[in-house]
Amino acid sequence: MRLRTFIIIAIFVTSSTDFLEAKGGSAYSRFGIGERFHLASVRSIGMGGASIALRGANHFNVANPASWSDFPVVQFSGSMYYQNIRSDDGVQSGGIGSGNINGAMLGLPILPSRGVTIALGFMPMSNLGYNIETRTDIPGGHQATKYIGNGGITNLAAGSSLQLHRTISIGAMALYRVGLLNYEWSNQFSIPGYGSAFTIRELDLRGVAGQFGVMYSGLLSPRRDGEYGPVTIGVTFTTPTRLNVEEEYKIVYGTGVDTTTVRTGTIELPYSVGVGISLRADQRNIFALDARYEPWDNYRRFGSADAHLRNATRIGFGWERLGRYDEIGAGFIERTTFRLGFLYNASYFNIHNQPINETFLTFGVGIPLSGVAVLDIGSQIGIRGTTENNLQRDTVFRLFFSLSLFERWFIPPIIE
Amino acid sequence: MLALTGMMIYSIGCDEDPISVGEGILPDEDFITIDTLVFMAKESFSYEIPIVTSGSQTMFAGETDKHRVESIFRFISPVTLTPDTVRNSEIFEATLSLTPVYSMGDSSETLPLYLHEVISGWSTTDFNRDVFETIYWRSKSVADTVAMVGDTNQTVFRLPRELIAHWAQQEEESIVTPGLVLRSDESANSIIGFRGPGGENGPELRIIYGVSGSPDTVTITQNARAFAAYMKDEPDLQNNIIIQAGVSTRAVLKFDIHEIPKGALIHSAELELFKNPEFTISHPEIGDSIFAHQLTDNNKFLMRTANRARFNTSVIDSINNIIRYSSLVSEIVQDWVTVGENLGFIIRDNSETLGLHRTSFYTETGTDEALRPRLKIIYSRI
Repeated sequence: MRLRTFIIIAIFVTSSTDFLEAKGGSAYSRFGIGERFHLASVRSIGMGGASIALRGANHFNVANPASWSDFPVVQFSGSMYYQNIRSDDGVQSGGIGSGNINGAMLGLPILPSRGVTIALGFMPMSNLGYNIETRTDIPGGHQATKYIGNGGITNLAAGSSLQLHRTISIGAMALYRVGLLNYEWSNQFSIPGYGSAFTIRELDLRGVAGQFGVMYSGLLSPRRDGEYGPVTIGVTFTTPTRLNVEEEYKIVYGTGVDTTTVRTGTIELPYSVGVGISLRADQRNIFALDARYEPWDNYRRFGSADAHLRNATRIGFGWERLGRYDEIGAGFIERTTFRLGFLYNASYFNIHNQPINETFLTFGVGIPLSGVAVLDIGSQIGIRGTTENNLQRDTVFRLFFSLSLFERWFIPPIIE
Repeated sequence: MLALTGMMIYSIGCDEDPISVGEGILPDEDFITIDTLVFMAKESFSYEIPIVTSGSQTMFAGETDKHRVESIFRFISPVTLTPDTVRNSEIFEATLSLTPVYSMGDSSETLPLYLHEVISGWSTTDFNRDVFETIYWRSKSVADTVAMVGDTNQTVFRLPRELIAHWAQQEEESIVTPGLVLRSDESANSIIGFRGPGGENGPELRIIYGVSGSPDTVTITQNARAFAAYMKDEPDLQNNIIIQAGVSTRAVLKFDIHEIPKGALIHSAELELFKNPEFTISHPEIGDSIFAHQLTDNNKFLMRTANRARFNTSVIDSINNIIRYSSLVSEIVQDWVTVGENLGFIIRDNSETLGLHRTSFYTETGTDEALRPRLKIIYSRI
């Protein structure tokens, strides 16, 4: 009952906010489809993003749908984030803070004995967000030039998992990718008689993709009956996506609006493939390592490649020390899970022929709440880019929160 | 608790103010560069257009060496021209009073004025000079008087009683009375304009009727009116920019701005003209009210009104009487480079029905290049 109440509240909150548009960000998000998000779970955020081979009945891992076969009960997970990006181009610096809902998933284990879980939800795929203003003095006054980008792509997801064998699980997820990318440019003058004007380019994108995953835990024998082997290998593959795009280019001047051109076309997103391995060293310590690859050389926008993009590779490594959830009398620290990780992302941005890479240290905690809920907090602190070659270096701080709720549904009535 | 914590962090930490970092990494296509270009006029000419004068605020009559103008009017229903009491009574006297509000020519000169009975029907809908040419009126006037040019006292005509009786009979037969033409003759050298209806001092038809020894008076003020004006000096419209009220004439001005790329943002477009005194006929009581319109049809000289731009004047050289007219035509030029077609401007006087003044401008072939029409555009390339 508590879970259902929370779901209703969550639906109300998300429907009353523009959660499909992420906010804030860096000028690097101007390129491609914006800054790529790879959010598997807030648990994995704290572990350097490693998630492909990460099992766990208490965490909704959307990186690999095969992991849902572990769910014994209905699980709901919702998350939000806050980020602060401080950008420095070697001459000046400035910062933007932003936050938003970060996704929600509902998992329904309809046949737990066979690992069949149906999952529904949404999560962000990319974020376009920058807000730049420069001011120039001119005879008679000044001129302010603004460059604003906002929007992003969200995945609406529905999928299922299946346990083929005690050591092998598979999963698949259909993704409906929908988004808006808005780019605004404007010149405003303080001089009477000079008309300010701006242009808006809006792209409305829609497309479908499929994500598939497999997990294999049979490399080593389990230590106890009923457990998985200590080593899990995971592989995921997301199909290329053809987004149908309607682009509207408007010029706005004075009080009038003119839509000058409308065109339709496609944006081709490349496939994504990932491999991961996790090791449960003992009852409380888990290590995980991920690698992902996306060939953004295959990206096409209205049929044209983008020289500002390149193939991307992402490697994450993390460690998790599980709290003693079930130990009676254990204190708060003992019951809390701690996480630490490292992330290196050779991002898909290639600006001024300079690859843009980012490195992060990650931290996280998992706090059990009353036995039917877990609060996960994850953070990333890192650096992206460089001030060489007229570029900018971003110092990024992100804080993620997620709440996972568990409840048993579909309890058959007792027949006397 | 989680939602509250999130909202707190979001509201405290989020910052939507812009920053100045990042312009350096944006692609070249995002940059807005501002350019200024000055274009000289490619072509200009003037043309006559029979403007609609029905409902004008002023009725004109008279002649000068440059203009001739006549007016037509009638007293209309629903105000009963001749109430039953008048219709069935003896008419003792009928006078028409007109109040002058405009004059052209030497003051203190006299202007003979005549009223002629109209004998063909006419409509006030879209009445212009061409319609006036089709109207029949009696060559012999029914009333005449002499007005003093510049005098503000009323000009009074004594109308024949038979005319009023004839109008009363027509009204009884449900015939719309055609009215009167007001004009002068060829000996005139001035023009007077009389106030139209509405407000004080409009045209008044006063009828004294009744029984001898106990007369009554009825005053009728509502009327339909229009005027027709003609140019007599025939200036060279094809090779001059002449904006004439009353007649009237308008001008077309064309610029070739193909150097401005399609889709450019127009921040400012200023159209400059310089007054040419050669054909100008000023009228001090009517201020400058000249507008630039977007020409939308070359053959029919159709124009758009919504984005018209008014000219402002400034004296560049008081000794040589050089007056500059400038108008911000940014919306028109923006339409040219966005979705519209550049057919040029129509220059017209917004007070076309208020007088007979004329403004002339130097053309693109004028000897002094500094006085030729020009269009200065400040724009951004995207």
